[in-house]
Amino acid sequence: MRNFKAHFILSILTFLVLLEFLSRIIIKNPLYLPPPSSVLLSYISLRNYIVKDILTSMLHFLIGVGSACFLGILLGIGIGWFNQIYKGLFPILEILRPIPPIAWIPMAIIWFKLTHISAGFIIFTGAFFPVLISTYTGMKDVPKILIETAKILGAKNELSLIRYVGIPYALPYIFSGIRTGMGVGWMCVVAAEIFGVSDSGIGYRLFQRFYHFHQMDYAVAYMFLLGFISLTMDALFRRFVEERFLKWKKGIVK
Amino acid sequence: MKLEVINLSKTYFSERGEVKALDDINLEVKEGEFLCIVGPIGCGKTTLLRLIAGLERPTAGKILLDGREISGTSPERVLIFQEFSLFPWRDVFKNIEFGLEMMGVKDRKKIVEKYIDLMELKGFEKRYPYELSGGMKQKVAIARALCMNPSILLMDEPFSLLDAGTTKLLHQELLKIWEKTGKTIIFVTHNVEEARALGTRIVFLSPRPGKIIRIEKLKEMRPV
Repeated sequence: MRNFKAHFILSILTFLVLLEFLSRIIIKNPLYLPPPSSVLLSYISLRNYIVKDILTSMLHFLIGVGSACFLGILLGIGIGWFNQIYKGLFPILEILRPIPPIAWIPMAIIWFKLTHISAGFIIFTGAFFPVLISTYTGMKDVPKILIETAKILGAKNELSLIRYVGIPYALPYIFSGIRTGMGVGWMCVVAAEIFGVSDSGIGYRLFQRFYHFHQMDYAVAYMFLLGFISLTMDALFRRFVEERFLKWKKGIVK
Repeated sequence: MKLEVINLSKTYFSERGEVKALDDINLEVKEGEFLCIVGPIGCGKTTLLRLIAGLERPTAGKILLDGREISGTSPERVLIFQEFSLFPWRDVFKNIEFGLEMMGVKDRKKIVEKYIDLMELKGFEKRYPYELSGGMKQKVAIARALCMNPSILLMDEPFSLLDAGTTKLLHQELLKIWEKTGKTIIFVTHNVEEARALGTRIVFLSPRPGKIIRIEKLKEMRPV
């Protein structure tokens, strides 16, 4: 583990030094490639914006991913467990699924105006399907023998079969769907903020300010900020949710 | 307790045609009996057990338990599967507790502990199924079935996935429990030796469609 960390730091440092060299000596135009040192320094110059931008983006993210998890899990359980619901809903969901989140922007503006909800909706369209499909797959995969065992041991109706067999079995699938959904949802944050639902937010600042004024060192700083937040959220989810609830699964907790 | 199987037939229908699994089975099982059902693979012995468990419905005929026709699963007829079928997300204690939880029993701890002791599972309460050997898993499944206090225990080749040594140990334990609790047991196996070692009676089934060829009486009821 320590060895791995040393590798990790060495690799990044080497890369940064090479980039610095490339940017200052060869390309010599910070618009095309801002040197890493000025990108790092921009975090200091931007310190008054960063927290507010993160909070605003988090608000959009929570609205989008929260509703995606709620609806995705609920519908996923429904279509995964009941064949009639599957037959009724699956075709329409399959038609909606490939529509890119950005393509929903016009509808979002008409439906929700320029509000946080509008941004949340764009994120929702990205996060919803991973959650839905994973939940559905998990519920569909429940081994018949576990359902029969539960029936034999007195599970009285579909509701208790879903609660005591379906959902616990599907939980690893649901969690991996949420993780994918969080990842995709976060990627939609920029798209959700470029059409002006707020005057803060990482995506708003990146596109409407830094790009507008060609402050590319700031832009790159915010790009890495986006990546870093996503990594952190994923690590936190694994640490506090998956490891806690999936102790029974060999291979997830070492 | 009396179980009667009357003119029972079962046919499976599918797009590729129909398969007759059981043909006109008549059988009576008395309280406290250890009945073994033996037959070649695919003779419908598992089907017979699943019908008694209430997991499937007969095509013709009926099964009566104390005069009442079986119409579905019930905690009084607990089936133990060949594949152990523990819930992987529940530890040993919670697996054993499952049926009691489903029945809404309040004081579960005492009952569960009693069967943990009986099956010699003490110290393993917090283990998850993936941490258990096959023999341990099946012991948990048996404890889980017993704590429902069923009137019949149905066992579908429960030891056929285990090695010979473990099987022998579990035979002894099963006989001990049978003598101690006086449970009626219906035990399906393809192994005549196993049936002779365990049962009071053996029912031999023919290859598909399963019909009773003969019934062999081995020993008297359990020594009380």
